[in-house]
Amino acid sequence: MITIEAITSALSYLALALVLGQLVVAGFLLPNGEPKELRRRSLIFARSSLCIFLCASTLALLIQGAKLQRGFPTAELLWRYVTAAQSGNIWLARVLYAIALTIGLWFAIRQEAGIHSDRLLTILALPLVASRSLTSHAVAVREDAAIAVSSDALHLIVTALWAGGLIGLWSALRLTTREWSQPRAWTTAIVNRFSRLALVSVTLLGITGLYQGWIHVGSYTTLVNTDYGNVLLLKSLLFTVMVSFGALNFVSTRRILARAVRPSENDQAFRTKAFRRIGIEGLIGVLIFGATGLLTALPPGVHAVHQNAATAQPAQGALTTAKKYLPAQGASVKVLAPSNGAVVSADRMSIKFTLSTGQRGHHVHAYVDGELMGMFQSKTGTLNGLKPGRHRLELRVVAEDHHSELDAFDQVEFMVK
Amino acid sequence: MSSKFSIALSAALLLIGLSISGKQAWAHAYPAVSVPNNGATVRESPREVRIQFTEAVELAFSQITVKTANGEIVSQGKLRQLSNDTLAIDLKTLSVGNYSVEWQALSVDTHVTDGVLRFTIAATAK
Repeated sequence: MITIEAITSALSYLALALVLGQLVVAGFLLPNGEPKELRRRSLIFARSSLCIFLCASTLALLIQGAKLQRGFPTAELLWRYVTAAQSGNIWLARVLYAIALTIGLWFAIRQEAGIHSDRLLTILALPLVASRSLTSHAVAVREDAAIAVSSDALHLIVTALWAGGLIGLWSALRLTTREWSQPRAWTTAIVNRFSRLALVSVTLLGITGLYQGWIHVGSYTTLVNTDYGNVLLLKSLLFTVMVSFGALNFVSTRRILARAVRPSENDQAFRTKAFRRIGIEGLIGVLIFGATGLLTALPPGVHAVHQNAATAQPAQGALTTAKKYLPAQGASVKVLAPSNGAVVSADRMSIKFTLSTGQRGHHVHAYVDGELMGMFQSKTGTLNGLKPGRHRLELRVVAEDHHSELDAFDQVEFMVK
Repeated sequence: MSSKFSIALSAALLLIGLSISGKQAWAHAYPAVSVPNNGATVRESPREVRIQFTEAVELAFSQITVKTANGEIVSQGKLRQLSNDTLAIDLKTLSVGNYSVEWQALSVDTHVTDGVLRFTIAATAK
């Protein structure tokens, strides 16, 4: 199931990257005086890619249904999923948006609407790419989810612009050299435009990629010891190779291509070499989409500790013994709310605290009268299910494994009416 | 040269994909805290079982069922979502014995997880 899910996820993202890449070529990269047929073919390619995206989305819905139903999903379950679940709502919205975009493209191709229409369609395609982050790991992080989602959305867009644009460039140059002879200045212009786009994209991709890696992996140990970390390493390796090819193309292939558009026997070898380089860079881009698909399907490395705990069998029957706490080693916590002696009138209560994790702390456990009631990484949270009466709240710093509690805590008393 | 390089890269990715596909536990929302805690022994019948997950979960496709050692269901009422990552289910009054908490969660990043937690109710010391 994981392989099919990863392939479907990769195919879906690749299709969107091709949509964006082709639209960028048509709307922003092609210099003035381009063959109209070239622009038209780019739009047709984008439309076909959108159809592939819709097929992949349908398959993804069936896979999601199969996971929920533990078998082939019924229509009732699928309908309930797309209408009642947040991720289902997002799936439905994206599919409807993609259909609307496909219709828009169909009109643009038919009416030969021109460059302004292509640019508008390019901008309209951005939310479709970015909205993938609304069902990604980023949306599920416990802290600063808005920043994580924004970073993920930007990461998705610049990756699609770079890799999709590269394939679009390769396709456009291939068609140009085969079917329409263009002046050297034309080729230089389109390649230079793409180079500027790639430079900005790669910079943003590197920054957002580092941030995503930090929040989903978090440590070197997780990077090397989890499947997620290993695939991320592979993706980073592919990214490095792709950047190297990009640098090679930036430095030397642009010059080769400028010569290649001149119809001459001597240019044949250069042309082949140039297209091979761009083609390899594009292929590595496709592999990066494959790795991205795997990352989508795998649990983030930072969850490895919970994953292991979920599959481990607890010790049965033993009564709780006195706890032993590890040295604080710089960790501390201070309860800011509720204040000592506070009175609350509901069965739930907001808490605020400051936390210094020190060398081994990670989050806090909240105990009410000695009973574990919650886990908090943020510096705010809510405790639920409080009974009327006087209680003692204790926040205690805990290591990432959830079991190693530290000798770092703070207590307040409060009353529930 | 380039075609060999491409084949090697494709093969590497495929191998990683296949090796990963043979393992278990792919999902993403795991219990971080449960009340009663997993493996705990308590003296009184809890009013409810509450699970705080590592990620936000979707109520519509999540479940918690509490059973006795004989498989009798002792949870009752509708599953409640206390916060975006915390679910709770009410319990009947429980007697001394071992209980299992079967949970399934759909996380907001579309992944489905399930598992079993356990707790024991011991006789009150007199």
